[in-house]
This record gives sequence, C-alpha cells and structure tokens, in this order.
Amino acid sequence: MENGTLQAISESVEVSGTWKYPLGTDPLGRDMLSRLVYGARTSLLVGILGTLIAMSVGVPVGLSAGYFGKRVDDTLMRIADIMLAFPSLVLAIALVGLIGRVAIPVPAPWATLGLVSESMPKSFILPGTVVLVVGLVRWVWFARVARGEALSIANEEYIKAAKSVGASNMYILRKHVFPNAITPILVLGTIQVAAMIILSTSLAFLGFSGTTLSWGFDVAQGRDYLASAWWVATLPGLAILLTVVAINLIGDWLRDALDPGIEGETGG
Amino acid sequence: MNEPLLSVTDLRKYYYENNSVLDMLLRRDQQAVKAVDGVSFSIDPGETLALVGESGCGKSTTGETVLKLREPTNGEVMFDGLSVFDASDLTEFRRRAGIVFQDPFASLDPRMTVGEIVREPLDIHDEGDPKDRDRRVKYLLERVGLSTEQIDRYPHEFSGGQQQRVGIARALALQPDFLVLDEPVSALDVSVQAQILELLDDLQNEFSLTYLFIAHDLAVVRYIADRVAVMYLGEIVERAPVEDLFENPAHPYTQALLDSVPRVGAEGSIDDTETLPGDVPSPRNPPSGCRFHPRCPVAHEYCRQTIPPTYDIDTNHQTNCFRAAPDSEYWNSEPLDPS
Amino acid sequence: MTRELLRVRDLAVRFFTEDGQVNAVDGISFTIKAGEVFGLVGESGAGKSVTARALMDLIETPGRITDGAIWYRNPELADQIDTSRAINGDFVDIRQIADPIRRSLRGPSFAMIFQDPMSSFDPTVTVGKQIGEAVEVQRRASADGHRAFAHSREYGLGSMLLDTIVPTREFVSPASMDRAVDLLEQVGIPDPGDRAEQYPHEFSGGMLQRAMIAQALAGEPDLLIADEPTTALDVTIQAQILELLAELQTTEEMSILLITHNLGVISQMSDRVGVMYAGELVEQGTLTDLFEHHVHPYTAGLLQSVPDVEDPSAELNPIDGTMPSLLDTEMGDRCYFADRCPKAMETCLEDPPVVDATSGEPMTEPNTTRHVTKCVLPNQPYDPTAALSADKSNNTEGSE
Repeated sequence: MENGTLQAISESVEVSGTWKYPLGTDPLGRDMLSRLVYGARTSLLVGILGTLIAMSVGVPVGLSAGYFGKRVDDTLMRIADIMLAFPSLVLAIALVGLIGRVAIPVPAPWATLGLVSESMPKSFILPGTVVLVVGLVRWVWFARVARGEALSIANEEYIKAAKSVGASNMYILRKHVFPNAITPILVLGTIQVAAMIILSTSLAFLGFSGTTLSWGFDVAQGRDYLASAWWVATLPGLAILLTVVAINLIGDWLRDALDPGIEGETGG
Repeated sequence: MNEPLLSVTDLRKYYYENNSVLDMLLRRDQQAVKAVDGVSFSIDPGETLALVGESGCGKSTTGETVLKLREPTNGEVMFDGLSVFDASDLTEFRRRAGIVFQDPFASLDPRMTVGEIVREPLDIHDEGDPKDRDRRVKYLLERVGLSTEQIDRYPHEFSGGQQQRVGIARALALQPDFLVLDEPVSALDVSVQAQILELLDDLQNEFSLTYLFIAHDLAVVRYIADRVAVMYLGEIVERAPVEDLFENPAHPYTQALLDSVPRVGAEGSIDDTETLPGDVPSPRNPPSGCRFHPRCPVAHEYCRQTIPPTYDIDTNHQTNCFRAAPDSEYWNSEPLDPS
Repeated sequence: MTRELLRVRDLAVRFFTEDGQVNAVDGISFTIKAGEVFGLVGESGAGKSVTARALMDLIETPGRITDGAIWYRNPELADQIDTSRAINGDFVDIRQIADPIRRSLRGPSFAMIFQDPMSSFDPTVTVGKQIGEAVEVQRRASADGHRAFAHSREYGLGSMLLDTIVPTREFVSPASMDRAVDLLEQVGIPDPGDRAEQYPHEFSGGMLQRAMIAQALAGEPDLLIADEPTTALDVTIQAQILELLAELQTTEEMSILLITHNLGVISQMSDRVGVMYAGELVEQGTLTDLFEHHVHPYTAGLLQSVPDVEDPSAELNPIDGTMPSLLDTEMGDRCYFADRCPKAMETCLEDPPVVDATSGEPMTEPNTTRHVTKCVLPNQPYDPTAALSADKSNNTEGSE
C-alpha cells in the first residue's frame, strides 16, 4: 500500500547521512528522518487510542467488580483471567486474523484547515485493527487496577455515608468511587501507552499492521540490511526505545503530581 | 402515650465464612460469625438510647444494620410505622434517619470540598433549587460551629473536631428525625469531645432529634443518655434508664464495666478498680449458655449450660442474668472457678 | 525522701520543616523520683509524645533537641564519663555524653512502650523471638562490660543472615529465650511457653500490650516510658494493663512516665502529674495539687470538660477554641493559652513566669518537685477590669 508522503526515488538506494537525507534513506530511497517523524504519529495515535479503548472497557469492569464484590467480582475476574491466559502477541495476531486489516483514512488536520501546501497528502492511514486489537488485549490491566482501588474504596466510611443519605450505587460509583480511583488508573494509562506502542510495533514488524508507514514496518524492512544499511532498522528501534522511556517518565511524574499530598499529623 | 419512633425486634446479623463456591463443592460447613444475635430495643421520640459495649460486641454493626446500611440476616425494624427491611423504597427513610461516624476524616470524601459534602444529600434528594441548597449548606455549617468561609476547603485542611462537625452538618442536611451516632467522639481529644457533645446536646433540643448513641466510654454515656443498653458478644445483657444502670447495675458484666473505669480525682488508686480477667471474646466462637460465664466472677455451673432469659427487674429495667430470679436453678448449682 | 531519678531542665525540641520551625516542646522542666509514676497529661499536639521520644533519644530529622539538659542519676555511669560538664554528682546529663553511650542506655536505663501494640511488633517473627532479641542484646551488652559499643552485640546484617541460614548460629541464645518466656509469665500471659511460639496476629490487643511490656522489661530499666499504653484498649482490658503496670512498678522498682490524655488513668496511676499545653508544662504537682488546688485555667478547663462516670448531674464546660499553631513564626511571646483563657489579663501578653502555685515565688532552682505553674495568677489574682480584650483574635485563633 502506498502512503502518499514520499515518492520512491528510482535510483540511489541505501544512502547514509547526507544533507538531503540527514538520517539516510530506506531501501526504497525514502528519507529516514521523515519516516521516523511520520511513524511517530502512527505509533503515538495507536498507543493513545488503544489505551483509551482499553480504559473504557477495563475501568468500568474493574470498578464494578471491586465495588459490588462477591458474584459480580468472581464472574468478571474469571473472564479477565481467561483473557490473561493468552500471551498478548498471540492473541493480537489471532484477532487481526479475525478482523482483517482495516486501514482507516483519517483526514490530516493541517491539510483540512488549509495550513499547508496543496501538495501535501490530505489524509493518513490509521491502522484500525491494530488499535482495536491492542486495546482489547490489554484492558485487563486496567480492570485489575480499577478493581483493586474499588475494593479498598468500597470499604471507606464516606461510601457508607453516601449510602446513608440515599445515594444509589450508580451515583456512588460515578461520584465517589471513580474520582478516588482515578490516580493509579491514569498513571497506568501512561505506562500502557508505551506498552501498546511496543505491541503495535511488534504487530507491524510481523506484517499485521494496516499501514507501511510505521516504525515496526521499518524495523522489519531493515532486518535484511543490517550489515550494510544498519540505520534502517536501528533508527526506528531507537525511536521506539526513547518514546517508551519518555512515556514511562511522564507516568512517574504524573504519579507524584496527582498525589493529593494529604499530610499526616506530626502528633504530640 | 408515645409510640416509639424506632422499634427493633430480634435483629440478627451473621457473617458467613466458608461460603465460596469452592467451599460448597468441598461441602464445608458454613461458619457463622454472629456479630449481632437477637437484639431488641425501642427508642421514644426525643430520647437518647446509648448502646454500650467493648470491641466485638456488635454495637456498631447494630447501628448500621438498623439503618439497613448492612443487610440484616433476620429481624424487624419499625420506624414510625415503616418496616425498614421490607420496604421497597427507602428514600423517605433515608431523609429521616441519618448517621454520624466514628472516624471523622474517613467519613468525608477526600476529593470533595466541605461544601459539596454537606450539599450532597440535598442534591441526591433534589431539595429545592440550587440557591436554596447553597443557603442551607451555609446555614448548616454555621450551626455546627464552622465558618462559611471554609466552604471550599478540603477535609484534610481541618482538624478532627472540625471534620466531625462537617459530618454532623451533613447528617442534618435533610432535617432528619433520628440519628445514629456511632462513637462520634471516641477519636477526638478531650476538650474537643466536650465541644462536640455540647453541640449534639444543643442540636437535639433545637431540632427534637432522637439519638441512638453508640459508645464505649461510660462517662460520656452517663452525661448524654436517657436510657442505656449494654451489649456483650452480640446480645443485650442489660437495659435500663441511665441512672438505674449506674446506681443499680444488675448484670455482672455491667458491674465489671463500671468497676473498670478509672475514676478522675485525687483519691483512689488503681487498687480500687476491680479488674475483669480474660480477654474480650471474639464472636466467632461464643461460649455456651450465658456468654459471659467464662469471665463472670459469680458464674455457676448452671450458667454454662443454660441460656438466660430476659428478666424484668423494675420498670424499664431488664437483665439477662439468672441472679435476677431468686427461684432460679442458678442458686442450686456449683460456682465456677473463674480462671 | 525518695531519690530523684531524672531531672529534665529547660528541654526544647524543634522540628525544622518545610513550613517552618515547629516548637514542639518549648522549655519544660520536671523531675521524676525513683519508684514513682509521673503522669504527663495533655491533648494531641501538646508535646507529650515528643517529650517521651526526646528522653529515649528517638527524635529524628527534621526534629532536634535544641536546648536543655536531661540529668539521669546513675553513679556507675557518672564514674565512667570523663567530660566534667556532663556530670553533677551522681547525675549525668545524657545530652552531653557520646552517642554510643547514650544509645546503650536504651534497655537498661530507659525503655518505652507505645500505644498500638500491633504495629510495634514485626508480624513475621514470633513474639517469643522478638522478646528474646531484646534480652539477648542486653545480655551481650552487659557481658562485654564497659565497652559501650560492642561489636558482637550488634544485630546487624551478618547476624541476621547467619540467623536465618544456620540454625545453630541463632542470634538469640536458649538462655535468652528462657528469660523471654519468664518475662511473658511475669506480665501475666497464660501458657507462656506456647505463646512465645506464636505470631503477633495471634495475640489479642491486651495480650500483645503485655508482650510489649515484657519486651520493655528485658533490660530491667530504671524508667519505663508508657506512651498512651491503654488508649487503644477496651476499658476492661485497660484496667488489667494498668494493674499490671502498677504491680511491676513495685516489683521491679522502676519509675514510670505515663503519658495519656485520659484523666481517669492519670488519677489511678500517678503520684505526680504534669499538664502540657502547646509544648509547655503549664502546671505540675501531686494529684491533690492538681485536682483540688489547681491554679492554671487550662487545668481547670480540662477537668470541667471531662464527663465523670460517677456524677449524674455533671455539666460539661468545654474550653472554647483550639490549640494554637506551634509554628515559630506564629507563636508570639504571650502566654499560649491566653486566647482561650477565661482569666486572661493584659499581663498575659508577656511570657508568664514559672512560679510556685501557692506562694507565687519564681522557681529558679532546679528542684521542681513542688506544685508549680506557668501562670501569672498566683501573683496576680484575676481582675476583670484588666481582662484581655477581644484583640486577642491574633493569628492563633482557629478557624472556628
């Protein structure tokens, strides 16, 4: 499939760092730097959207399991356990096989708003299956964390207090359990973005992605050229590494920043 | 003659262990922890009934179960003609019956401002329009002794006593008739205790409130209660008007409780207090017969074999001890060695 | 005349926090005699626990003892110390001796028990072993004689690893374990041999508190510091523990510093009492002094705000307001209780002197075993015309 970003240059393949191509080119002569930059868009979008999907499935499941407990908890968690029994990559591949590769053309905002020149592509390809799949594979993590939080919150006295003034369970979940459980879920969210990026690049590497403009694809492509044009595989690999580390650091910071910082007494 | 506002009959709350799917497959017997095992009492309008006992006796569980904050195993609770456990819609009941908890901080959602916390009951029940609600919140905060300038502060910015005031304000939001006060001052400092007790007293007089006051501190009970029920291991062992209980305790456990309280004052020393031997028992494995017999200084063999019924000693004064009946078999049996 | 055991003079403990300097304890002086129970009463934030920890040298950053002396009567120790400033006859100022020597006092001289027994024990080690460790440490220390810093008595990483891996090299010797079982028996735990093999969670609150007392007794201390030892216990269990402490005090011939906010416990157990407020000792004396001849309005306020189990018609008179902030920048030079005091006068805007409660003479000599108060009232009876006006709404008033 063709991504309308760069034309293939018919001659000169595998050029390493020149002024025209600062990071070299891939085997088809396309500029690596550009591929890295555009690949970032794919990866980040997949990571964030996938996390959102995982959250929207996992958090309600987990909160309900933790809050209602007993039978509800048992049932929901058994389902989660079953999902966890599958290695995520295997499950992902199976789902891709099931759903098929869906490539969604998404209008590029700059182009739609007329901010860039006419020759730039009007849309980019979002690998829809990959997004869906990584989300479905990893929702269980959110469910686990949400359940843990809900379990401890459900025993708090302010929940009892809310019940005593007549709040319904839905109301309590919405207004008391969710806001108090959100911190570790958000932190997990940032870390999961990183995990999803890795998962999606793995899928792309194996050829299951819906787009060829991604880091995973480049790594796969560069596999055969490691001896001669090592940069084709290494540069995207480095990009993945740096992105994942950066996201984890953000997650760490977020954990500290969201801590309500309620001091204990110094006691007399 | 007033009808009681609240009437509790044979309330039971059991917690079952060994009832997961696995246990049922393995045919293990369900074990019941009988936290509340047949408790009955009533409270007249405007009255304060104190429920007194040590840890594990079931008083807090009783308070919460009466309000159906926990699912009862058995029993009936009548509140002004409404059967609480049978009713399908408890909205009206929730308006008229409230609760104040023991741990002031834990009972407040740490992510809500104090104003939002007090407003919440009004929002849930859709009382008036938002302006009315704001006015009422401000009124309540002032009434419990807080300044309205703090309406946007968070619970952790307040002291324990102030947090408890917020809890009280919330409980009063819907103009209830009845409040369960679950050890409302136990976690507070001495002088703050006094302030809160005084506040509760004032509020009761001003709003004609009825209180179920759960406590373990007998001095506080003597100050605030009209009638007292003493609980031990899930049962009420004595019930009397407050002065009768303190002047003429009929049950050995009540006597032991009173004797254990260290007296304030220059005279007297630790030798004056009679200590009760043994540990506070766990409701998991209650003793046979009279549950107090292992620790009772005057227990007889009969006490181990038979469960004592409720005896009437005086008007409104009842006890579950054989010693109240001069013709009981108790007097014929051998004393137990209390070790 | 009973000998004095401990003389605390002008003790000050400050915490240097991010919000500023907190004056947790602000220059207190008191004396504990040998074999007596000294009660320290006050509300949370008053500084009682901080005082206790200061005596045990358990104050950690950001806190520090910034001032004062803690004179401890121990003739043998006085002989060993070279520094002349640190000695006064048989008394040693433990603030001025070397750190290792001061640390070695924990156990044989000072021991402490805390409010919540469940969090004072390691849940993964049997109770008997934990008490045995205390015994063993003391045994090794005394076996090493004068060496205050004995390598072999240290329970360091090496000992711990050996202990876990090699059964015969257990840190706790059989003799120490036997003594641990004896101690459990002494504190009234039935079947001590079996109980020693159990873990803390298998003990009830009262039993565990007894075990903690047993551990504290391992070194045969001169002074037992009990920080709210019965606050977390049921009233019938509290009576048992207090009875035990009173017994032990006689048989072990030790003094007790009893910290609590419960006036009943103070009444039953103490010989002498000190009342703390906002880091200061506002009144101290015998039980009779405090309950029947109290002078300081805070003491009066406390007594009036506590319901009495024996009095059917008691009126509660709570003290208005709350304890002031202990931040140095917010504390003035005035009497810290002035904002809440029903008898505050203009003179209370200055730091009140420490005086004899009856005669009013200033207490300058170190002997503070009389009825003493930090107030102007003994010298200047309350005069409503000189009352402190409503400009006492200084920053110390709470938001209530």
